[in-house]
Amino acid sequence: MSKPIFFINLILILSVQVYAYPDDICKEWFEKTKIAIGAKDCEAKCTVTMIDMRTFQCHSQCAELCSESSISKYVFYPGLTSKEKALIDKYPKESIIVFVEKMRAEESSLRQFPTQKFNDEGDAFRHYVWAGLLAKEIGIEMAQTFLDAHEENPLQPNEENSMDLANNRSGILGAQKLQKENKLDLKNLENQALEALRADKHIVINPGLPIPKETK
Amino acid sequence: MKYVKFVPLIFVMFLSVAYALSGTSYLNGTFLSLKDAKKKWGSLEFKASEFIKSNERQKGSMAVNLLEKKYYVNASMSKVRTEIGTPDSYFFSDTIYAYEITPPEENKEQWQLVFIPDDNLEKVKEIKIHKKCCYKSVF
Repeated sequence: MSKPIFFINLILILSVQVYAYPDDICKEWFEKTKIAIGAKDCEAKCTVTMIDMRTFQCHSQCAELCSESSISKYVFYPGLTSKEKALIDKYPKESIIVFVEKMRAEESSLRQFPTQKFNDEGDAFRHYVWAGLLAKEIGIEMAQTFLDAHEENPLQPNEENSMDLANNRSGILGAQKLQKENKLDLKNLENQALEALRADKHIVINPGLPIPKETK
Repeated sequence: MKYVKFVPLIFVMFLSVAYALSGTSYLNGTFLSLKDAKKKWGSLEFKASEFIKSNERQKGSMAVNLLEKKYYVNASMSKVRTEIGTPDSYFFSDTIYAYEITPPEENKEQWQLVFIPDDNLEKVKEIKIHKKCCYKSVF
């Protein structure tokens, strides 16, 4: 595609996005109304909710405010929980970082455990490394928010959920420790995760995979 | 330089468009078409209770039958787990159920059957055969 066409397309897409995106004042107003997003009567309730001089424009944005999500509906990613979708809308920049670090953690886990299955050491390692990388890139509090949102999976059995939450927490604590020593990077997180696995410190429902002596 | 502040926004948009264009490829994922899967394994009647304990050939041919008949599409995700069993593989997120077809072995082609949920994570939106070995980050 030639450069001018690419930029014209980009401007068109941006215009649509900006036009369709509700403003921050209305998002804040809508949040306070406690109206359920996606509910059948959402728009009806939204248009009759009290506004003031600051929020007078918000009734005209009810359709957008009531749609499942704004940015998240443009993002193609299967299996997002509703809390993750809400976070994508609220923190689009951080969401990209979360996604990139997820891919890095998955790659790293497949490298260390190429024969991994489910709920095994590879799974625990992936959660640990992802949590650690997020803590490094977006801070501990934000990392915890995104990690918890990812675990809001209504179909996940308690045992699996507990395993993921525990390994996420270990990853954050591990990252904190490395940060204090000024050594927080992927390689050190990988080493720490493997060490913890060897010391049986991770929660693993289906153990049995060989744990590499060194990171691959 | 005054446009520098738009760089993150443009980046977000670029990624969004890339995702949309990637369609069902899920960023770098490789999937086996029904035609190729049939050529590879043939087709055998799908029996949920026998799937996990079957061998690779049987699993592959049952997966073909599943895709052909569209069993479980629009059924609840919990039905899949109840009938087939606990997933024994991983693809993209824990909200997606994955069952291995090929047993995992280093440096060997591996296939898995994946059940992708709808937006509410309640029903099966689509079923695919995914090449596990080649799922790598594009970043």
